[in-house]
Amino acid sequence: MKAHKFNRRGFLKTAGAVAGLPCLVSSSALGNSDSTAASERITLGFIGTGKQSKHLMQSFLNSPGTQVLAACDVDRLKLARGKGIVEDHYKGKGRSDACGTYGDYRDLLARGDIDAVVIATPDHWHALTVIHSAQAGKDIYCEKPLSQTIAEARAMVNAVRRYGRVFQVGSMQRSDWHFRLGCELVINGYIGELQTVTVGVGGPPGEDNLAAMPVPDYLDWDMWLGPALRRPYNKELSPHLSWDGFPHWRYHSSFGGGGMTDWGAHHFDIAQWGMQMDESGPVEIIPPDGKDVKVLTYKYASGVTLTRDSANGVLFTGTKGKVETNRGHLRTEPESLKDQKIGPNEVHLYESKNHYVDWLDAIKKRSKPICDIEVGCRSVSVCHLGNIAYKLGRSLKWDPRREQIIGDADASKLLSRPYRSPWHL
Amino acid sequence: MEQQLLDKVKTYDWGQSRAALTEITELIKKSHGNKAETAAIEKDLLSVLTSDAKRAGKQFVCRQLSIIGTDASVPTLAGMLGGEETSDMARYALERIPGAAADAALLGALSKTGGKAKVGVVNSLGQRGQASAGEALAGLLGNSDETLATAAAAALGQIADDNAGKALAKAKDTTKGKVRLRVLDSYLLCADKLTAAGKKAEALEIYKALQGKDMPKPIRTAALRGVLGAATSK
Repeated sequence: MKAHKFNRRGFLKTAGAVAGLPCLVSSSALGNSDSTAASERITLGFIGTGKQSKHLMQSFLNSPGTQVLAACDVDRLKLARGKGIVEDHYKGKGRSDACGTYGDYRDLLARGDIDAVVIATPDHWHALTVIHSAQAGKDIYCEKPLSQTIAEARAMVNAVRRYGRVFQVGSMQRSDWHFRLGCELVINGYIGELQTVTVGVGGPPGEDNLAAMPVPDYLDWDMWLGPALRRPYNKELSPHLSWDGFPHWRYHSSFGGGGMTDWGAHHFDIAQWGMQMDESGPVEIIPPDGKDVKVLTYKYASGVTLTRDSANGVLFTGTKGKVETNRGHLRTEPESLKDQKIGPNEVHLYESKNHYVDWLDAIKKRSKPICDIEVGCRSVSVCHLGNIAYKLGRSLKWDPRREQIIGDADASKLLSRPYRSPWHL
Repeated sequence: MEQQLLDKVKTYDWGQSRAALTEITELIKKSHGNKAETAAIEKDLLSVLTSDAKRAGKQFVCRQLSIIGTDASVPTLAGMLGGEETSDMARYALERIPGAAADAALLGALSKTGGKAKVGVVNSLGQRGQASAGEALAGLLGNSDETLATAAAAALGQIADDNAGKALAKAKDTTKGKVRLRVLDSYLLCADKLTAAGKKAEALEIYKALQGKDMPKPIRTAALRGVLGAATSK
C-alpha cells in the first residue's frame, strides 16, 4: 500500500471544506516557528504594494511560519520596492528566496504554490480581488474597509463561504485590548443600560474634480481604474513612490468612501462590536438636516442611538457610566471601571493580541479569525448607509436581516455600483 | 433648470470648478418625491448627453440619471451603448433604471455592439438578473472571445434560473480554461440558489456533478461545502 505523506499545505488545500468545524490539528503540529520547514510554511502573495502594504509586508515577513512568494501591483516602482523588501528580509536571514512579481493579480492567483493572499489595493478593487482569490482557493487578509458597496460586501461573504476560505478584515483595532475591554465593560453592563454610542470619524467622500495629468510610464492606469468609470490620471490618486503619505483616492467617491469608511471601518466596527451587532445593523439612518438633526444618526432596534460626532475614538454612554476607547486609550466613568476584571461567568469577547498572527493561526486551524468577513460586511454596511444618507440628504429605513433599504427605490440603487467593462462580480 | 447651469455642465471638464454640478445635485435632492420636477430635471440632463459636451460632463449626467433616470432616459442611453467613450457611462445609468424599456434596450444592444462594449452589456444583463437574456447569453458561452464567454458565464450565474442551469451544465463539459472556471462557479451559484429555495435534491445533483476528479480543487471544495450546507439547511 502506498504511503501518503501528510503536510500542512495538503491540509490547507483540502480543509476548506470543513472550515468552521472544530480544529483537528494543532498549530504547533503544523509548524509555527521561525524554523518552520519550507513545506510547512504558509505561502503568501501580496496584491497591492503601496503604502499600507509596506507595513503589512514587514508584519507578515516577521510572523513565524510564513513565506512571501510573490507580489503584484500596477505601479512598477511600488512593485519593485515590495520585491526588494521581501528579498532583503530573506537575504538578512542568509536566504536567497525570490519574490515573483506580477502586474495583474490574476497571474499571481494562478500560482498553485501560494496558499494565501494579502490584499492592500485601493478600495474599489477589494471586491474583485477578494472574490477571485476565493475562487482560486486562497485564504485572504484584506485591508479595511471591506468594500465600496453593500452588495459587493455580501458577494464577497458569499464567495468566501462558498469556497471555504479563512478571511481576516484589516480592522485591526479588534486586536487591541483597549477596544476589547471597553466593549466587554459595555456588554457586561458596567455602564448600565447602553443608550448612545458616539464615533469620531471623517465625513463622506467628495466628488472628483481632479485635473487630467499625463500617465506616468511606470503605471498601468487602466488597470488601476479597474471597475471604476474611466477618468484621466491625477497624481493625487496614485502618487509617486517618493510620496510617503496615504494616497488620497480614499476621499473620492469612485475609489473610496471618505473618512466614513476609512476610519469608520475601525470605529463603527468597534461600535458594532460593543453593541453586539456583528451580524446585524441599524434600522434607521438620519442625515443631519441643519435643523433638528445636527449629526448623522443611526437608530438600532434595541433603542440605542449611534451618532457620528465629536469623540476620541468610540464613546459608549450608558445609564450608569461611560466608556471611551481609542488606540492606546481607555477612559471610563467611573474611572475605576478601567481596572475592572471581567469575571469567568461574564461575556468574554474573542481575544487576539496580534491581528496578523491571529489570521495565520486561523488558517492553520481552519477557523474564523477575530475579524471574519461577516463582521467586516456588517461594519462597512454601517459606513455605506451613512454615506448614502449623506448623498441623498434624506433618512433611510434599513432591514438588517434582508439587507434592504425599505421603501426608497432610488436609495436602493446605491447599494451596488455598475462596473466598467470588462469587469464584473 | 436654468439654461446657464446646463451650459456649464456642457463645457465642464475634469479639474474645473464643480459649482454648477453641485447645484444640480442639490436640485435633484430637493426634487425627491416630486415626480414632475424630477422629470423636468431628467429631460434637461438628457439634453447634455445629446450635445457635444465633454466626457466629464456626460459622465456626471449619467451618474445622476443612474439615480433618477426613468424610461424617458432609455432611448438616449441606448444610443450611447455602442460608443467606445460612452458605453460604460451609459450602462452606469441604464443598469440601474428598472423596467422593461431598459431590459429591452440592453438585450437589443447585444446584437448591435462588439468588443468591450458588448462585454459590458452582458455584464449589465447579469447584474440585472435579466432572465429574458438567458438564451442569448447561453449562445455566447462558446464564443472564441474568452472575455465575452466568461462574462456570459458570470451573467448566467447571476440569473441562475432553470434555463441558466441547463446551459451551464452543458458548458461545463465543452468549455476550457478561464471560461470553464467561471462556468463552474456559476453552476455552483445555481445549486446554492436551489438549496436556498428548498430544492435540495436538484441542488445535490449539481454539487455531485462538480465533485468529479476532473474538477479543479476549489470547485470540488465548494461543491463538498454545498453538500454539507444542503444537508443542514431547513
